Amino acid sequence: MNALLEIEDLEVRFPGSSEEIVVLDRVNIRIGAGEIFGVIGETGAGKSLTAWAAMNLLPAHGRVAAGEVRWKGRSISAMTDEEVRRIRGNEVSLITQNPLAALNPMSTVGHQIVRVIRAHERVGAREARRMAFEALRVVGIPDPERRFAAYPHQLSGGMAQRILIAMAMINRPQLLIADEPTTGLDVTLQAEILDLMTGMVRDHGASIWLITHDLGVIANYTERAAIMFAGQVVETTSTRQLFKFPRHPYTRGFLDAVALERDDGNRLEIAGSPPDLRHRPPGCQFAYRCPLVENSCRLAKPPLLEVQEGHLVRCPPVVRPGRNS
Amino acid sequence: MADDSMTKSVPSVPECLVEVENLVKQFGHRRSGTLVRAVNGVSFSVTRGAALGLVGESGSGKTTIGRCILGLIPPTSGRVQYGNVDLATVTGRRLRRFRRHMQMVFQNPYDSLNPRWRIRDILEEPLILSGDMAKPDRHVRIRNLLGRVRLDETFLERFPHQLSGGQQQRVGIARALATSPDLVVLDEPTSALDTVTRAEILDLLNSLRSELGLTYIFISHDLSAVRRVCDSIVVMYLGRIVEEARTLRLFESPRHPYSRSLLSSLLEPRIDGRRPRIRLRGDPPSSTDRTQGCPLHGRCPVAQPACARESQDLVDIEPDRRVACMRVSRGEPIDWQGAFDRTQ
Repeated sequence: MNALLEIEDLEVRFPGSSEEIVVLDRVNIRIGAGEIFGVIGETGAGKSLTAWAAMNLLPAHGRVAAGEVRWKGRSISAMTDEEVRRIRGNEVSLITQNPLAALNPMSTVGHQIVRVIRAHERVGAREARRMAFEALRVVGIPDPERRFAAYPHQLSGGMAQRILIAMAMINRPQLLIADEPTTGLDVTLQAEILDLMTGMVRDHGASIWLITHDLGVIANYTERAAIMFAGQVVETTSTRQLFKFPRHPYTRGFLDAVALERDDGNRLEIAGSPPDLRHRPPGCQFAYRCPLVENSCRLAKPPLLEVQEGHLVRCPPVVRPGRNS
Repeated sequence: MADDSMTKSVPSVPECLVEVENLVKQFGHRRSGTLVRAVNGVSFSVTRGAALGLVGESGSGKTTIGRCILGLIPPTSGRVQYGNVDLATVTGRRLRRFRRHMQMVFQNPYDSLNPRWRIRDILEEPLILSGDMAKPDRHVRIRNLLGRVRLDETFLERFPHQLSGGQQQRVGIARALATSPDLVVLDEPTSALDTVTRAEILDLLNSLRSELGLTYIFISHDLSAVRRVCDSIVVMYLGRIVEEARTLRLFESPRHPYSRSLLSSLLEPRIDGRRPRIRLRGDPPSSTDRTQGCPLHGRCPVAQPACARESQDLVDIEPDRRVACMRVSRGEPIDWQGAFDRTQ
């Protein structure tokens, strides 16, 4: 599989009151061409930040302290700002959680779509308008002519998200970054929007980087996934493997927490709050909540270890030969 | 922590705690003449000690029902009976005193806690307002409440912003329990929380119900949360009940086309066995439109011409199951194969 995007040992720091805070700690993510890749984790795990860092969009006070991001084999840090900007504009699109906040409230939907079209293609106003109608029709908006003249506040959340998907697909991106694209939408709409988004991207042969805290979204739409905790990827593998044979205690606890059946006695409890990134422990970041913790876990930072091809786990005890759970 | 004063004995004979009868709530705008029919003739009852889920999407009227039950807003018509008291007959100061029996847990724990008060003050306030506890007793009680929600005493002196979302919601629950209510209305109590925290809070709610003999009305659009807590579920659509059933039965075999569609959209955290999706056409109509016939008919994949003319009341189609669908209650064979979404 050709890698479209590779993130290797990415470390991002933000200034703290006395010393810098390590917010992303050696993050490794690899997204293949045509692949739907999911990143799951709780608030503050670093899911979105990884995407911003990869696209060179960190807030001014954050900095990449180590690691590398490669887009189609080329290091982003070796590119000029203009080159990175061109990749963001032409080859990558982004959909965020709150669709209404992503639209300009002062201008009509049609005007905003036409602007995106004319930023990418040299077409006249009339042709751009026709293309905008078509884009709205493709994402299932009834009566596109009427919606064209609507302002964002006249749209429902589902309709606004459809319009953003239409806009995101106009440049025919090779990668669509979807950051919690359906959080806050109603159940029936959530499935519809995800079907629409994944269907359109598949038709174009593009990839999706799907960021979510919802295991149901990961299970139903992704092919491979990474689970993040405290700014680290703790496990990454195929989605099937992740659900069938999770290895990292955090992954297991996370899956058990949403298991639909009531407690059968084998549930791995990982109760507790997210860690304080200002005071990172020297060893495994999850040790303080881990039900399977050993003495050695608190001593050295655990590396990501390969348990089988393409299945990486940041937990030496579970990878040790002779241990199955 | 044993605290017998908080535990209620649950009688063995099922006793109806809340009865809602033909509840209607309209919100009007006098000048423009628009009328929002938020709740449109809803009847159900909740047995003491039971947990009932009210599910539906935005605008289905579930939160409005919760607010009418707590007497926070008066219904336009219909009746809410609490025990043997008709809520409409309780007003003013009596209503405020009456509310100690029923409490609410809110969606966003941080917004529902006063940021300038310590946890101690937040938990003490309802005890002061209810006015029948001396100061030393109140302090014992506050410690008991914290223990109930599995927080230790170090939390007493903290402020809400020093707590995680899950801890804040635990405080919200403890505050709701302060006056020893029988009924707790949970309005999307876990929607603002992360996955693991959400599971912890749901487990806590389950433990508290059995420890204290509480009765829950759980309002949520999160079907998996409701499934984890409730014995039975009421499915709402546009201000009406479309189906009511025991939780397990509803998930095994939803009968109303809307419930079927809703459950088929649920993205379960499993990689095998995704149900075929039943997709409704278009967007939900607005609750300001007065529609004739079944409220779902314009979007229903198995609607027939008669569905646009006549509406169907809720009918018992089997023990513990009521459905408001003409075709289902007539026992007509319905071809669901044709309703499945083939675009997946």
